[in-house]
Amino acid sequence: METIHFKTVDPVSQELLRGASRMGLGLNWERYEKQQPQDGFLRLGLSCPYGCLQGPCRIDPFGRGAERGICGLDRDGMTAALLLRLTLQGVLEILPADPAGNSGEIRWPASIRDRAAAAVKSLGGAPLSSVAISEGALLLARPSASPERLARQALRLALYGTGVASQARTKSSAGSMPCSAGYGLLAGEAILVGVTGRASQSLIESLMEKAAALKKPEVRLVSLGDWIPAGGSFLPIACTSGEAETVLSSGKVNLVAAGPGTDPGILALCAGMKIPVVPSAENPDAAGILKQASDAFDRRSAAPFDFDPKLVGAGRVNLGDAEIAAALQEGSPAKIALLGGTDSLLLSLGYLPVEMAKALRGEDYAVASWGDAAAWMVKQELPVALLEADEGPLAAVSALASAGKLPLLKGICFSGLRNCRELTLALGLAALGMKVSLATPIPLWGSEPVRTLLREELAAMGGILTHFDHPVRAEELLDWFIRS
Amino acid sequence: MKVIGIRKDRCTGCKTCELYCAAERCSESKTLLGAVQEAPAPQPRVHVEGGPNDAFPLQCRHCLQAPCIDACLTGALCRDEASGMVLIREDLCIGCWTCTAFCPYGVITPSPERKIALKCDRCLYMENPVCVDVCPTGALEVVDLEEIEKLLHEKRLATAKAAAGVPEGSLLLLDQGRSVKS
Repeated sequence: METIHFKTVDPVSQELLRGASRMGLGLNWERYEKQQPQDGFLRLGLSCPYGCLQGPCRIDPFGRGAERGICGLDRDGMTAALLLRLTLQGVLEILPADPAGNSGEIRWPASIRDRAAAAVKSLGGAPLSSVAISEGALLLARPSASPERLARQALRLALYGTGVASQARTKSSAGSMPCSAGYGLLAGEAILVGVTGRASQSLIESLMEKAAALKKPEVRLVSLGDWIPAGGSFLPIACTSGEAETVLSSGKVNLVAAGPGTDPGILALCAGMKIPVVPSAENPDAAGILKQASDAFDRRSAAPFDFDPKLVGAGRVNLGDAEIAAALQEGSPAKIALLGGTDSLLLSLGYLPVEMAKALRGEDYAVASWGDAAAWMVKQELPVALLEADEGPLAAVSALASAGKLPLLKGICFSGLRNCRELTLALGLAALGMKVSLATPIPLWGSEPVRTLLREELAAMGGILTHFDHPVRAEELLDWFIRS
Repeated sequence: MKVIGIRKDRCTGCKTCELYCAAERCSESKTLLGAVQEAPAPQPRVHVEGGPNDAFPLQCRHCLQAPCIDACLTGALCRDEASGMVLIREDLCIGCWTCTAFCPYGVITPSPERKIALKCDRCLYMENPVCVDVCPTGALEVVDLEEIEKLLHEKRLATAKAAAGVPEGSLLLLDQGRSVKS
């Protein structure tokens, strides 16, 4: 607890963490601390990612142990293969977004077609299609390809994944939608239903419809960190994904509707605190769910943590290209920065998005954000443009390219990576000639040649992927933006 | 005297102790991701020995009669009065590495780049040795030699009692304190 101020910058979260500690509740922070230090070989990319099962093989990073795996693969091959494996996984995560259009050649939006063509040419010129997936999988069947080949295939896959995500964009003319975020959404006497994961749209809408009819106590649906469209707006966001367990520990949430992608830690905490959980993907009975929530509300503890109703911020998520471009041009800023992504426990929750956004605004940057970072900015009501969480920077790049304003974009920073999909998008955007940075380390530090390869390949396409060997400090990131 | 104790049954040979010892005690950056980029490569002061079924981390045992102290030509190796540890005074070490030849456990390693010998000092100036802190299975822990002595004394006593009660011509199973009639 003495390091609580390193965990989150939010004073209410700090109070909740203290309360959870007093109650003996083990939250994500406790699990994080027990994981430290994380497996060094994996962090460096020196655990062999091939599935031959002869090992597990790993390379001693300081050169006094194993220099090669059983098959003879060296550290550069391992690290490059891990990059390819992560990218391949990322593409597979992106594919469901565009079930109809993923088999043929990518149809790039007109605004970034030239950049994509230049990137493809730089990577050998073969057109990008779903064949890249099977090529990648074949390369990962046995360790025979060179690190150069693996890294280039990773970039081809990243470009392909980014192309699929960009052609799957359906909201490019969808206007904007209101959103709100903050602990104030949990204030007062109300039945609170928390929604996590990819909850089913029909169930959410049905829950909202039925909840609207209930008064005394009223029923509130809140998201525990995900951006969930519901009707003409986003479900109010009570907290970011990194704070979901912290909020549950307050005892205020009466029921959790858990969609696919919900962390096991959330389910375990709910079980421990006797908070009912309903799987939202396969449960169409909205009335039954609200009845369960109401019963849980009646059984609630006498004095759960109460929140200040003033702690709510509001904003609008820009979905259409025209709205995004307009939001980024408000006040005619000289430069544009995209700063978004997921909470990471490697960094104090909230610090990077809030402080960086303020600092960048002070340097005459327009800022756009998505994901958890955007929720932090909404909580603070910072004057930034908000982007849809799944599309993230891709929406802004596409909108700026359409408006001919791409030269104003000085950098894209991911405050944290939630999954391989985000890593793939980061690599893909760098391959499209963008300047991208990652605030948390990626497992490439075991091989300098692979890092150099990646840097040089991206440089040939006009892009940069900056990643650090430590969780980034705000001043380093500010410097990175300003030197652009 | 406090030393680093090893629970052999818990060691999986994962070498986490080696990685983080090298990073913490021998690198400039003090982080693993930074340490692997440094030249010369940081050296650990603990080494995982043994095979797949009997791996164990080995570091300086701080012998009560330490051959390395006797072997040291310049007096760089000495025993710290307060802690009882065998320490190297790096300013006196000339890198002759005689100590490495005399160490019965082979846990003093030469550092050719720095021209000194390296050995575990139990992270004396830190709250806890880094290898103990990072061991994912808790195979390493700081133990008090006096307490170990007490345990050993009890074990010796139990064995002696068991031995005294064994009928003549029986085989004594020392570990279990049982006897088997021959």
